Amino acid sequence: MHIMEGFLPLAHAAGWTAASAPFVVQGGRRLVQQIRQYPEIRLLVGAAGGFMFLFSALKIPSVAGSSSHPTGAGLGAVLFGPPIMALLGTVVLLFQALFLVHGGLTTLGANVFSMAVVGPWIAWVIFSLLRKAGMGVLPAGGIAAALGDLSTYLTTSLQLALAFPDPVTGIPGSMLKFVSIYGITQLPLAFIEGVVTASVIRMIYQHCQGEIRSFSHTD
Amino acid sequence: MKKTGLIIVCLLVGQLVWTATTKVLESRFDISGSDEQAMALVQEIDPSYTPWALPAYEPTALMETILFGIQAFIGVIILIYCTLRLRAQVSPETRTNSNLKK
Repeated sequence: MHIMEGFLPLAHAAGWTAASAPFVVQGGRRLVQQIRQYPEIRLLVGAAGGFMFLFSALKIPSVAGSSSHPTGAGLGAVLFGPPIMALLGTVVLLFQALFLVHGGLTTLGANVFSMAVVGPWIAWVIFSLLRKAGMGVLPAGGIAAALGDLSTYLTTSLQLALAFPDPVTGIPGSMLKFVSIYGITQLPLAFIEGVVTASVIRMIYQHCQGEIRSFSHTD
Repeated sequence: MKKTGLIIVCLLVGQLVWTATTKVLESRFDISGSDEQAMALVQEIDPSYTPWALPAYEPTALMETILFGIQAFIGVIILIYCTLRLRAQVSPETRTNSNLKK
């Protein structure tokens, strides 16, 4: 879902950066506040960051004849809520832009908005709704992570469609073209992300229920 | 401790095997990244568009694989470190799997 360096017009790049910045600042504040209030969650936050680091580096060939990678943002969104993931996601994306030449500094704002803002927020909203509907933590967490992953790629498609509307069919036609690239590749990967996230939530619940109970959105 | 060491080694080896397998599959079956396909589509929709910024360097395919491997490796190390510290902090009697289906 990474838009490469220079592949958004300057105005769009600046606009997405401005849109992402408040979420990242809020994420930083929330992280400091949560750690002051619940120091025991530091290691859990680290584990969620490590999971995102690992997962977003795993390129997986898909049935569509292309390869992509999961985002790993759903786990942290379910455990801590979406604001903290805006900060963690920015760290991951900055690392990739600087050292892996994956994404870019000029497109960092747009990539942060799709992977570290929209994805976690969608995952968290879906998780909350499913929990309210009475679904268990594991299936709700898995479904939320999978849909959060898909929403990230839909957002990237929208960002590119807004910047490069199709000369004939306009923004909707362009969006459809980008979705056909990202969506087909990402569907099986989103499923994998959902299953793995549910497994990790299970492991965390088994070992760290005290820490989770102190702050979590999952109960 | 032996079990923990074995898990760490398995995770690291698994990550290396994964990276290498993906690379082989990509080259053998001509699989390209969805990001690259999307950027090609940008050029198709608007052939006159020229990226106004370029990456500081262009890694080779092998270098890119190694760099992604390094990122995954860092993720594994952080994940293992935090998980082990968490396990050490939590006493066995507090470990429970209740609430999962609630």
